[in-house]
Amino acid sequence: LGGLAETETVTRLMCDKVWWVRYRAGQALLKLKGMTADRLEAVRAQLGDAYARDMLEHVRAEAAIP
Amino acid sequence: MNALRHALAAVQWGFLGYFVALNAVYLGLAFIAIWRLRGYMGGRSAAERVYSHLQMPISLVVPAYNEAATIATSVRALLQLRYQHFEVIIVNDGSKDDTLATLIREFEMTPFPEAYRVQIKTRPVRGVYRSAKYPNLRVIDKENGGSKADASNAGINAARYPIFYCGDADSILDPHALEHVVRPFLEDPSTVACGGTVRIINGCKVRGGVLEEVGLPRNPLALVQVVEYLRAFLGGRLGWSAINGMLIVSGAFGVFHRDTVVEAGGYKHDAIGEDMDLVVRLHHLMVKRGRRYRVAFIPDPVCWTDAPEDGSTLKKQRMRWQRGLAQCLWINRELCFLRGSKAAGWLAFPFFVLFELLSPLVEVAGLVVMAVAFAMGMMTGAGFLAFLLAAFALGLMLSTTSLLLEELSFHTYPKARHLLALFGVSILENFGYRQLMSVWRLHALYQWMSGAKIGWGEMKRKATWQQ
Repeated sequence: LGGLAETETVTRLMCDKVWWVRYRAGQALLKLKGMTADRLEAVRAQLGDAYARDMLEHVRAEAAIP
Repeated sequence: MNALRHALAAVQWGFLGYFVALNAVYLGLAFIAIWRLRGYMGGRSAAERVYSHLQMPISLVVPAYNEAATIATSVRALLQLRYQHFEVIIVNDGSKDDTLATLIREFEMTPFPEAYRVQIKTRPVRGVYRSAKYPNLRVIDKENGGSKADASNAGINAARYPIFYCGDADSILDPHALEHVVRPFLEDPSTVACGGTVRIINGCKVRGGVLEEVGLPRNPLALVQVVEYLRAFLGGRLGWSAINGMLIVSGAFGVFHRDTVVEAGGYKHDAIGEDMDLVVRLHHLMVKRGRRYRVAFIPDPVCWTDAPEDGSTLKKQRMRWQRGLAQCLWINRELCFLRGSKAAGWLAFPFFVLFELLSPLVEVAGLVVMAVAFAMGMMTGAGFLAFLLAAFALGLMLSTTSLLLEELSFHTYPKARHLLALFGVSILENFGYRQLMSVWRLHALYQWMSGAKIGWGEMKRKATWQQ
């Protein structure tokens, strides 16, 4: 649990209609064990949902804040 | 001539009936208020102990337009509020001055790629900023929408928490305001809105946007408004909230359930009184959907606002309120006697039409008819005097009841001379002030009925507390 195998589940939740679900899913995605910038880029490329892409940007920017 | 006499007599009886009904309702509300207040004060400290760790997170939405001079102080005061979990969202509504630059400089704001969702349509958002110093502070920079409603809606879109506060940038909140206002939401999850008592800041000592010492204004116009606000909030709204008939939550202080407000479409940008309009639409929405709901009110003095100190600003404000009331009641007339609307549609709405909207008309006409009757010799001097005295006595009783309520509960004004001054003013306001208000409101009613388009009316704010 918490490894890259969960990527699909978490990515699906990033398209949820509730903002908080997308937000927490985004945060979870960044924290998956073995997640790298490249893999994140790959996930991003696959995201069909504009809200999910926005959310990914949002959580990445938030994570970058010290 | 005889027919005229009969007609005049009938009209007189009509006025008398109206007058008795009006005061009976007000007094009834005041008595409900006394009863409610006792229960509320009794449970207050216990509730705060029990709930202190269950506080719901709150989003504070504060629209700002051209407030460069005061915005930093206001935001600092908000950030100091005593509450566990809240966020501050300042909406810069396309200010033409340095409001945004000031915020960026004072709070180290940087652009942030926020996943902003548009649930209520507003003018375009130009960007979202986040503070490096305070993680719970954000600024939504948007194009000017020409109304507080549009800016508030953008803030509601950005709000993350289940309930939000919406207020003015220049109002001062009590440090414990959020602790008090969350109580109805915790006690009854079907609460969709909650208002609180607004007081007058003029004459109080304020430092850094925080109230330091309560005082009374020297300006007589502001002083009358202290009594007026006491009467309106402690007497009126507390009474209405007891029967879930509150149609107004003050624009200076209101807390709302976010999802319900989004469902109702947010604030209406073309409403003159967008605060009342929203609450009336919330009633309507919930009744139509057949859902149980509550519009609550807490009597605690939670918000302090600047009262106009000159006649012309006060006149503009009151005339705008009256036009807003007329517009709101007219647009939402469907709520009146709507099936299932209970006290809101069957009691509060007709009351507002009859006794708030039309009262200046009846009051002024009543005085004129009485005077004419007196001049024609149809009324004895003693009768005329008795009528005036009765009107005066009832007015005084209402004002002093509110003073009593305030003394029994919050005891905000610490000194005996404060109470004496307020008592004096509640006597004096019956000679001239109330009549003047009636005439202004009548004028506004006439303007609205004749369809005149009048702008928002620039408010001249003194904001002496900002130094």
